[in-house]
Amino acid sequence: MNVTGIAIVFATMLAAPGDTAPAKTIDIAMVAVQATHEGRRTKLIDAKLDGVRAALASLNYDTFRPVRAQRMSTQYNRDCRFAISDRYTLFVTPLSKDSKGGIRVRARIQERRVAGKKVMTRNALNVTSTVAEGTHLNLCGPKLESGDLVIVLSVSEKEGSSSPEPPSSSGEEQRQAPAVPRQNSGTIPRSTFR
Amino acid sequence: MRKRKWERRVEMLFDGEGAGHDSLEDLSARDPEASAYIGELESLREAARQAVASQEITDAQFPAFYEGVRAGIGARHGGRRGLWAVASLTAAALIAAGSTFLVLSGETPDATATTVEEATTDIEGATVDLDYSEDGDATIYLEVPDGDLW
Repeated sequence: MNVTGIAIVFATMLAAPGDTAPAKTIDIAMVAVQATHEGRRTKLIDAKLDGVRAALASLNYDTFRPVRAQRMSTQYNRDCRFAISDRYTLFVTPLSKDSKGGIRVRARIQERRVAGKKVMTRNALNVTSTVAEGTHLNLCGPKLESGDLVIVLSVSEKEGSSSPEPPSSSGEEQRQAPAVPRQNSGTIPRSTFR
Repeated sequence: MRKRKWERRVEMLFDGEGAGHDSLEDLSARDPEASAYIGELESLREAARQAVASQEITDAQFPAFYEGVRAGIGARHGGRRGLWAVASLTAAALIAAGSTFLVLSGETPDATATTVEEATTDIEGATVDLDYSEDGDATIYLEVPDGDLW
């Protein structure tokens, strides 16, 4: 076998996995809640929050009102942006999958304030976590009107194509297309609560 | 420096040698230069004697000696106070930094539970706490101070 033949074999070996392996799709579900302490004997959890009732029941608040729920699909190392309110935006980036199946993510709650013509932002919370299948990462505490903002996050991985659009006729165009996270419906409604 | 002959003779007399020559007293009375040299030798001998003599603390000197010991102990305590001051300043700096950057290392939950590696906030004076629930959830509580003027 000559040098050209060896080069072709190596090129084929290197190119093959990338061409055939399906991209991983990461589903991220987010429920934003306004939580308050109102001195209730039993916790009041709005019926719209039934999907995350168990997660909310263990938190140190007694009243939970829905703010927004959204589910998005993305890929590893791509940001998902969830607009929660005029004041808060949640950014979630799946980073990797660990050996036990947990998905390592970076979640950031960005707070925004407008003072005159000046817009200021700061990170109210910046978290790196490994979210196990079937469990939640709860982010509590940023001030939201008369209560606290609570965000319940769940993350799962799915096999299959992550491309939200059908393949383009031009491969180059497809590679250059911006990665837009896809919004899904599921147990958590895709639309806002109110 | 090479010594002169008369100096060597004075030294011999000073050491009790040189029998048959003039006595040290006669030489000192007759020759002022020799007298001065004898004075230097006496000073040197006295200094050497004091250097080998053992120092003893008499009863009269003991209170002053003990006071010195106490002062020394006090000075050592002062050094420790300096160490604690540095340690407390470091702790204060860490607490101040903790309001804006806090690394959490809570109880490690089960393998099937959500775990938190790090949680930080930019909010000045805020604290971050972590709680793991029995059903595998991880909860981060951000405590924002009432006077958060941002």
